[in-house]
Amino acid sequence: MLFNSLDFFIFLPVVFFLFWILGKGKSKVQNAILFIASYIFYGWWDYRFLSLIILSTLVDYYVGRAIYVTDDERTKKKWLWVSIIFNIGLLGFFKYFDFFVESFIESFSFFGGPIENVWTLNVILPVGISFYTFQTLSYSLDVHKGNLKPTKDLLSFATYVAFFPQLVAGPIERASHLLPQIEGVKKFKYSQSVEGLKLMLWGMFKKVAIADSLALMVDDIFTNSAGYPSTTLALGAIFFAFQIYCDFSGYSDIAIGTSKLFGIELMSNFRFPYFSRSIAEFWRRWHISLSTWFRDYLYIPMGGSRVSRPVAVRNIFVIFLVSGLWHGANWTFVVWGLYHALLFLPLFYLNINRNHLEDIDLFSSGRNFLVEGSQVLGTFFLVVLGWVFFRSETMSGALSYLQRMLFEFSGGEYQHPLGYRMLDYFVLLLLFVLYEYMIRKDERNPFKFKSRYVRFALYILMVFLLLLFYDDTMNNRSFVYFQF
Amino acid sequence: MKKLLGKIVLYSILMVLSLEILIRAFHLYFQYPVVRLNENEVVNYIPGQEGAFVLGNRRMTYSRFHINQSGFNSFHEFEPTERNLEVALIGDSFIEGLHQDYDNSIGKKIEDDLSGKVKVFEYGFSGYDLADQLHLIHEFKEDMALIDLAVIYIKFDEDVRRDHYEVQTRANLENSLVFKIKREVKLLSYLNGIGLISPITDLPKRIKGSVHKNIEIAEKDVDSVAKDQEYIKNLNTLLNTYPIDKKKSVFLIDRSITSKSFLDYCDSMGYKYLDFGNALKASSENTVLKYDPMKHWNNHGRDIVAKVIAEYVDSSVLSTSN
Repeated sequence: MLFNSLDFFIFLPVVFFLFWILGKGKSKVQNAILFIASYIFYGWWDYRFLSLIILSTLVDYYVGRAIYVTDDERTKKKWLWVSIIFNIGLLGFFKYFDFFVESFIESFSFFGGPIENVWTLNVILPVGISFYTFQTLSYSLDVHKGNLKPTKDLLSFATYVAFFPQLVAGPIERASHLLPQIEGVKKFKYSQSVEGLKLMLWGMFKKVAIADSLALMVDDIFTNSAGYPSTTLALGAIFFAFQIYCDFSGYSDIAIGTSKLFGIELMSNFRFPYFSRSIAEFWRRWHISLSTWFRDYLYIPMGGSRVSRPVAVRNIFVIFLVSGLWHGANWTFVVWGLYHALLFLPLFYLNINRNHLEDIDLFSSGRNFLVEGSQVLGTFFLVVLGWVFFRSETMSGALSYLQRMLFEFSGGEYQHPLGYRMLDYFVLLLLFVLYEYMIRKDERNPFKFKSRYVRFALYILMVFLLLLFYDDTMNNRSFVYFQF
Repeated sequence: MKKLLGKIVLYSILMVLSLEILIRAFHLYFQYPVVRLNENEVVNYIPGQEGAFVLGNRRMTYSRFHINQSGFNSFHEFEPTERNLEVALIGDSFIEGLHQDYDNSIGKKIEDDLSGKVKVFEYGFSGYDLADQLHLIHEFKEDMALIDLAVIYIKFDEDVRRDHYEVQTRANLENSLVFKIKREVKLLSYLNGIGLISPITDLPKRIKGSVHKNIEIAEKDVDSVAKDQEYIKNLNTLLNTYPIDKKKSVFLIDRSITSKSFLDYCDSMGYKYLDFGNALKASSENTVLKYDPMKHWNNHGRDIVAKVIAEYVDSSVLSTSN
């Protein structure tokens, strides 16, 4: 079920009222309702793949208990490996099996004769598999590290794994944060619900008005890139930067907002990444739940930065390459990760990767405006170049796109595929950037203005823009991150 | 909880009112002239209406309409005479042309192409099929007798699905309370126009559809030869019920999408047809409105169609009258 569908518009109020009326003060009932709702939410897409969630839930539930009850370190480790092998195996089979087989065959053909490909399986990628496997895996890892006491309540654990607002595209929650909230009695709070509704409106605006309206042009430019001049290719890359940001952060906002309606707080996933002044800052603000997951469960266990320089460099490469590969089974994602590793490395060497921890304020002095403004633009430019790899279907397609965009200058006016006026989109994006700058200090409160009249005017403006840019040819367009 | 629900209701009402004002202020709503059933049992518009027809969320198409005393969108009053040369264009929304300014219509373009030597009367109405068109010709037979040429626009696959005329229920429907509300509440009209209402109204069908999916698939798989035969039979019945003057009538068709059965039928029965499809296809410029799901002709497309008709009028009507 998609957040931007009529089905969800009916589903959510029904679950909301059942949850607060039947489950008032009763944690078990509340969890039972959330659990059933979550399975319906996921099964709406394809009920067959619920079996994978059930398996993943059962494996990690029992692994968590098994790790906890034994004092023997070797046994603990063995059980942890069961969880790692199961979850990564599941992900590997459904997401990477064909990729590795094809890559192996291609490299074998390069060195020797061609071999017939009879091993690829062409299996469907279950929606959200990368998210829920990482979430269940984190539970076993936390229990193994002693950071978390395993739960005895299978229903709570199953609800934690399948919690519908964040099941298919995150934020990837940690058991230590989400599970205690699920286990406890959820209490209705007016202010929390209102915050949730506001976040949902903001997320829906980003998804429908911006991401979906840009999607058509991005698809057109990337598909027919060979026929477009370099200025159009640059426009396509910039539009994609906004599309993917608004699509994914919009989803996260709706997820966080929906969760608030049930009295549950999820972690923030985006903190205005395009106002970053360096790549390091960008990664502290983009897909936070994934980058901190890799930091806590991969980078730090490998030694992080508190090791020799060569090992630290290796760690950085590993983390970015794995992050790239997590997004999809394609060399373009691997190169995207590698590209970011190369951008990050100089900051690490110069020991300036922890700079810019505070929020940007361009207008506090003239110097800030010039220096930080150019840093923001420079970082945005580098990020946009990286998005070309991310969006392209093949490596050769990405390279040819970049080559034509950067080295073969040619100009020309771009026409919207459906003939719409382009100025509308430029004005929309400009307003969006200005508004994001105004609210940049609190990603969880996009309408933080004292006057209720201003707030109300903004709600109307958002809904009005949403209608103006809604495109029914994009009806129920899926979220980009579903494919990961 | 009560406070939340109360606020949601209050904010929703205020939001609806504000959006209604904004949509009216920017004239974003989809205004449509009001339909009537006239004394001849012909469905068309209430005379004297003026307004703007809007397409797209952001007013991508904005055109003025003017309903004349005969109930059609036209820059002329329909007053055919013995002494002037007059052409009737009969068809559906493509001829009606609400998506264009009424004084920049195909009829006006034909008149301009022929330097005002003929007058063109546009009997167009959205959704008309051949039964409606032939019934209209029949009911306006006194006017038609004075007219020198009737050009009847027809899409064979869509317009001969029935073999008799029945009064369209649209006239009653559009004067029902639901339609009046839809027309007067501009927000509803706007939401309907951008496609946000249909998912709600289609929901019961969607639920039903998932049950009867297999049946629908089976129904779609039809033999095109059998369909052609059925349509020709309908065509024949209609033309027998409402005979037209073969000398003074021509079917306007896009030959590339018209079944050969139709062309054979016309050839054997002595009906004339005029193809505009080739001329449209030969154009290097786009000929249809880009943001219109019905793909009506844009200004350039209408120029081409008008030119095709003008050339035909020139060769078949003007040359013989001289």
